[in-house]
Amino acid sequence: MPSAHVPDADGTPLRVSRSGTPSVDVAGPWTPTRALGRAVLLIGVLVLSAVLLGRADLIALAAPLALGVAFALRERPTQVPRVELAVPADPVAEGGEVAVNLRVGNPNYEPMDLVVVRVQHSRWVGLRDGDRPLVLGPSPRRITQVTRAGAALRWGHHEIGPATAFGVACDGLLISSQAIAPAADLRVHPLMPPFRADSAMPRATALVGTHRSRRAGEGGELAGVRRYGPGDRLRRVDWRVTLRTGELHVAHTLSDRDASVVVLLDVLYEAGRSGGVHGMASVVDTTVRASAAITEHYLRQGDRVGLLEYSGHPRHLRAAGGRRQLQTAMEWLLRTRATAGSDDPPVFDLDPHLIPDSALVVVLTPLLGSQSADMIATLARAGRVVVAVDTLGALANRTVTGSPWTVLARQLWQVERENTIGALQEVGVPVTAWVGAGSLDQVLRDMTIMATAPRIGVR
Amino acid sequence: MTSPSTVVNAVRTAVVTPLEMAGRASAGPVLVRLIAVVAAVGAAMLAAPPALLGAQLPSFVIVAGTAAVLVGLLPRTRWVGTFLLGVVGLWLVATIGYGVGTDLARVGGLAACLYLTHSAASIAAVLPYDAVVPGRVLRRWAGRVATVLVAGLGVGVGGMALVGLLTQIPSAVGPIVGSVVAAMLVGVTAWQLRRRS
Repeated sequence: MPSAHVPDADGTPLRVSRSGTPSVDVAGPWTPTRALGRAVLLIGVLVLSAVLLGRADLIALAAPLALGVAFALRERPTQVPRVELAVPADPVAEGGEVAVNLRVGNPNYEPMDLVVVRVQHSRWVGLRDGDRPLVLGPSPRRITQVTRAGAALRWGHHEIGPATAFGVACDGLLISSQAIAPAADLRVHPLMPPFRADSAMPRATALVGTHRSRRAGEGGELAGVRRYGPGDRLRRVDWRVTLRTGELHVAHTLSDRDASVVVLLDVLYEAGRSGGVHGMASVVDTTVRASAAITEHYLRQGDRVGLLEYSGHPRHLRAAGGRRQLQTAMEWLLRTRATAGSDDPPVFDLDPHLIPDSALVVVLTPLLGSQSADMIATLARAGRVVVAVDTLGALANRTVTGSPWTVLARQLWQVERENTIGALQEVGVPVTAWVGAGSLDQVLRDMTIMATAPRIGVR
Repeated sequence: MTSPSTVVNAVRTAVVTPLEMAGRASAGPVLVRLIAVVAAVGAAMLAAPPALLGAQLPSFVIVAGTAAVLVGLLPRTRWVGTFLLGVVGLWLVATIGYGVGTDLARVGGLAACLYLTHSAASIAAVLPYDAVVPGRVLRRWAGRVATVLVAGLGVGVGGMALVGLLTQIPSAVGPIVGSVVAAMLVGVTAWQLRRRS
């Protein structure tokens, strides 16, 4: 069933999925319930007994039942209810509010007693009362709309639906076949933890010649004055314009540097269990949220940012700058998932030529497999500037219960991991833990110093 | 031989599942089922002979109460029809066997309870126990039930009172014509059942 984008009353575009032709069984779209059979049986028994025994009281007992059936069946609907599901077409932020509109219509001229609607949805969309069926009583030829609100609990693509509905008419004597509205896709962008990297880029290429940069970013060349927005620095506030307009304005500058950042997501393995935005973060959660924060930061600085996924289904987003790249990167990140298992294609080594020479490569890795360490070492040996960010975090120190051998195995694993980190540092890859703001400052500062130091060459 | 874990799982399912269902149940469906149970208890009490209510009241209350509660718990099953037929049978036993009088108030009360049990069970059968039900839907159903009860009791009990005023003439024509009319009534309703909507 096709989905269509339609504007809502307040202008918010909605993604709507409608129920099409429902499955029609041999008995027709409306079938009698057991209650109708029961009523007929009771009326028959009472009337026959009354006639045979000559008892008027049995007719009196049958009268409400007979009148009830006749009264109920005088208006029988012929068409099944219609159901529509509308989810926001624009992405929502992780932890943000989601409103799902449910429209249920009665296309008949006859009334329905009620319509029971069930909406299936991803467990990462916490709709209030979302796991309960909803009963509505749409009037004839009318549509009833109900909004179910809730929170988007985790980043990614989440299915809302399918929504199934069946109608009940004639005081519960008739029931309709099911109308189904197919599932709609809800996009939830990852929550970006605060991130800042004040240090210079190790291999930023300065702008050359007299030509100005085309990209906005941190720099000395004034591009204009615009309204203050989240993330703007206070030292950029243009007080004259602010005082004149009564609203905060900042000086908008063009980027002074030409740097590329490649964020490499190592999602070969998942570890930990995701608890959503309010719970524990798994490795993939940390990787995606950190990638979003790093991408947003460097794009705001005016740099070019590209993304690479190292997994069973490797992907690549070409480095580019600007706001559009941020949107593209967010959409790209939504499809990130850990290698599921044997169904995924085998992992190949990354081709270092995908990454520009001067780019800063930020590898977000849990360092859980030797393949990851080999891949990072290969990049470093190919001359790329690589920083490894450990995304395993607190999961590495999680207490493991089991037999005495489990403790021993864990200690061995920790020693092996420390060896891997040491080996990476030996090939010139600093490894730092992901702690949000300032995670990369120290390592970038060290790398910049190293990059500017005189090199010893062999003649 | 059944393993202990299977038995534990079966017991857990038998105990935990109903408890979870009770915890999830919504007010609307519970109210409808409660109405069905109360109406079923009323029907059984009105249909039972006074001798049964006097001497064996506790036993009767336990049996009738359990049967009525099952109507509320299993509204989608054949149990509702079986219960209602049992009430009609009890009424016949009370009137024929124990000579209970067919006064208008009692017949009217029994007719109302029978219809209310049937109607509440019909709605309860299609309402999921954990559904969110707006009050408007239940009020509309209550309005229709009240209309049917007023009309049905007016016709049934009023007609019964009218028949009581008439002089009875013994004749074989009445039962024959009545049987034919009853058979036609059932036949037409059954045809309605099979006919496509």
